[in-house]
Amino acid sequence: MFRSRSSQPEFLKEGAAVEDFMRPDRIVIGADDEQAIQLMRAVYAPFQRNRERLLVMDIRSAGTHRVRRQRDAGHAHLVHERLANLAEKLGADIEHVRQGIGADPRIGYHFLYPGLGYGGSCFPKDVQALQRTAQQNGSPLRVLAAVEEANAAQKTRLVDKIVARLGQDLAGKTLAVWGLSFKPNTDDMREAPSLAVIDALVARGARVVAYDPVAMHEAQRVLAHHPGVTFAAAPLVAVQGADALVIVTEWKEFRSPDFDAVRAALNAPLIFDGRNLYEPALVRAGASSTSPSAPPQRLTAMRAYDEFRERIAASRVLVAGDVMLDRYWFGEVERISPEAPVPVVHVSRTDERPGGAANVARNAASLGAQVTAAVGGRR
Amino acid sequence: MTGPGAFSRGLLAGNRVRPMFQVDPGFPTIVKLRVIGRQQQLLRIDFENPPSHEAK
Repeated sequence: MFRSRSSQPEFLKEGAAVEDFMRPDRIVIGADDEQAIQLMRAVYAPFQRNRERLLVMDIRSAGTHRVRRQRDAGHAHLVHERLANLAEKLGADIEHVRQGIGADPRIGYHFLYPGLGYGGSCFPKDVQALQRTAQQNGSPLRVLAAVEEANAAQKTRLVDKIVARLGQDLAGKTLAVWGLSFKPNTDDMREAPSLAVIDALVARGARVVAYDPVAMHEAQRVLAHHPGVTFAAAPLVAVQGADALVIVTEWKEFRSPDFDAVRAALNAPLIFDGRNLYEPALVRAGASSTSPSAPPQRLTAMRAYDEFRERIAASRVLVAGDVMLDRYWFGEVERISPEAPVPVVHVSRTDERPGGAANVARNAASLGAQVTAAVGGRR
Repeated sequence: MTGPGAFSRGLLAGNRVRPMFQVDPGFPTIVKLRVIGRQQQLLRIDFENPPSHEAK
C-alpha cells in the first residue's frame, strides 16, 4: 500500500475563504516524495488552469513559509500603521502614502489600511508561534516582539484620542461603537481590537452602545461581563443620544451613513474614525477650522459634511433629459384570479412622483442646489 | 400641456426647480407604473412610445 505525507499550509482570509481557495495566488505543497507531489498536482490542477501557482518544497519549509508570510503581512501592516501615526504628526495624508507604497507590487495595497491593529486567531497565533520557535532555538526574533507590542499599542491609540477630546473620566458619557468583529465579513471576535477599546472605555466609566452587522451574538457572549455595554439593533439606534461615535471595524455599511440622521441622533457631532473610513478631502475641509495646535481632526466628518452641503447649495445645476412619471398602485393581495394563475391586487391607494430627469432634478434640489430642469417633457 | 407631463411640472415647481420644458406634442409622457401588493412589487407596466425624431 502506498502511504506518504504532504503538508499544504492554507492562506485563507476569513470572510474571503472560498474566493481565496478558488483563486489562490499560490498553492504551497510540502512533500518529501515524488508520488505525493504528483498526487497533489493532480488534485490542484483545476485551480490553476491559467498559470502555474504550485510551489513545491519539503514539508518543513512549507510550514515555515506560512508563518513567514503571516509575519511579513503583519509587519507590513504595522509598519504602515506606524507610518500613519507619523504622517498624522507631520500633517501628511496617510491615504496618499498608502497609494504610493501600495504601488510597489512587492507590497501591494492589500494590507495597507491603517487602523486599529490586527486581531483574529491566525495572525496573532502565527506571530506568537514563530516567536516561540525562534526563542527555543536560541535566536529570538526581536522584530516579532516589536510587531506584537506595536499591535497592542495600536489597539488603544483610538482610546488615547477619545480621552484627549473627552477627558480621562468618561463617567456619564455614552459612546456608540460601530463594528465589533476583528475585521469585516466575519463574526470572529478573537483578539478583536473592539475588545481592547471597549475595555478601556468601560474602565473609564463610559457607557457603550455597540452595533455590528454580524458579530453581535458572539460579542454579547464575549462581553457578558461588562454590564455597561449594551447592544443596538441598528447603527442609527446605537448613536441615539450618544456623546460620540467610535468606528472600530470597517464594515461596508458604515462607509456612507446618513450623516444628517447620525448628527441628529448624536448629542454632539463627534466621530472617532478608527479605520479612516471617511473621505480624506471631506474630513480635511472639516479640520481647517480648528486651531493648528489641535490634533489632526479625522474626527470632524460632520463639519466637513456641512461644508459639502453648503457648496452644493451654492451651485446651479442644469438637468437635461426626459421627464417621466413614476406611478404606484398599492393594494392588498388576497386571492388568485380564477381567469389565470396571477395574484389579484385590490388597489386601495395610488401615488405619483416625478420620474426620470424630473426625479434627478428633484433630488438635486433636495440637496439644496438651484436646479434648472431643461427637460424634454412630453405632452 | 395636460396629463402626466403637466403633473410632473407641477411637482417640480413645488420643489425649488425651475422647469424649462420643451414639449413634444406627438408623444405622451413616459409613465412607469408599479403595482405593489403587501410591500411586494408584483409588476411594472411601462407606457412609452419611441420618439419619431431626436430632441432638438
